[in-house]
Amino acid sequence: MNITARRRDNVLVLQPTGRFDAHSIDDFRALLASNRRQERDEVAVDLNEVEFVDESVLAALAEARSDLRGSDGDLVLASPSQSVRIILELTGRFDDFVVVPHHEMAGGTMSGLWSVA
Amino acid sequence: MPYDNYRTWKEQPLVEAPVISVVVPCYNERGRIVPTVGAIASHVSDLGVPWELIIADDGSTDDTVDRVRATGLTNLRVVPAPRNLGKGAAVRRGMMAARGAYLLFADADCSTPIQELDKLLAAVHDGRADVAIGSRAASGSEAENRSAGRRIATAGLRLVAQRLLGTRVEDTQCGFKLFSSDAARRLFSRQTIDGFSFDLELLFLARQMEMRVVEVPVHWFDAPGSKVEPLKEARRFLRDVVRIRLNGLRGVYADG
Repeated sequence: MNITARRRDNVLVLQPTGRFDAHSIDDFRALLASNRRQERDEVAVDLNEVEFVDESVLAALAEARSDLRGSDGDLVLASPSQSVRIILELTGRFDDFVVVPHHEMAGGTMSGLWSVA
Repeated sequence: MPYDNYRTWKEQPLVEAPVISVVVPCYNERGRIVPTVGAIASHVSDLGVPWELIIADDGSTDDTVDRVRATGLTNLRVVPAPRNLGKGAAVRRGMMAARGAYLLFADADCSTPIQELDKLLAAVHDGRADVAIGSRAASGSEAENRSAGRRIATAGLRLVAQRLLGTRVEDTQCGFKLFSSDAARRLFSRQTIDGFSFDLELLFLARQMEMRVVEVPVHWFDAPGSKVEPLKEARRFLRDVVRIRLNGLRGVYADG
């Protein structure tokens, strides 16, 4: 498991790869804390390279989103792999998040929201 | 489109016999089972063959079964137990209910990624093996987050099993094994051990029946929240090794 962080324009993009489970939550939180801005930060978690995500991670992502919204920011999920998309649907979490097809669509207007066909 | 394969599998009952059956034994897995179901459904649907998913519940006392049923997946069956009988009993029940030409059992924590199925399937499908087992010991395997204590204990138990049972398999306990339907029927109908050591009994039986068993190196993760209690399981494992040996000597596994 590896998580990278980079900033594109005003959006902080966090990109985990491989298996994203409870073992990785502390790394995710630390990376977010050390890279986020304190106010009005937009964060996109790019899940394109993630094969498996467990419920503890989904809960941690929801918690991070709530925290960011508390400071007028937001967290969106970007380009989830098919496996992650199905896990989000089956766990009933898909509608809990804003999910965008690509992290470049995160930030500002949140245009291009994923449509579940 | 890959997602369409999943959607078809999700919504439309199979009209022909499944090629692949995936059996997942579980006991009180409310926090893990649904993501595992999702990962399996995503990958196996992409293989483009009819398949079924069987959740062999082992008498869960939480809402594992309700959560599985709430997924609404048409080709998923839950095979429940009246009470907690052990992992071996759950796997046997699931395997005996399965209808596929190739039968996989995979642990509920998805510690071996379902993508590894492809390698096992190739080994059995092309006639090299009757049984293909995921291995964390074979050359080319990768085990992540596995503690040194667990590695040492596993190596010690493996040595005991090899000496007493004559198995040549390096990793008997990986919860990711694929069987041809014929091999599964012959092995699981003779299985007597209901606990964690059932794999060992299956491999002993496979050797006695001169089945071809191949170890396939897999990527494996020590998933968080493991329910294995190492000392307790080691004691049980050693007891079961003796039991299997005695069963063999007494002819318990003989035909008829």
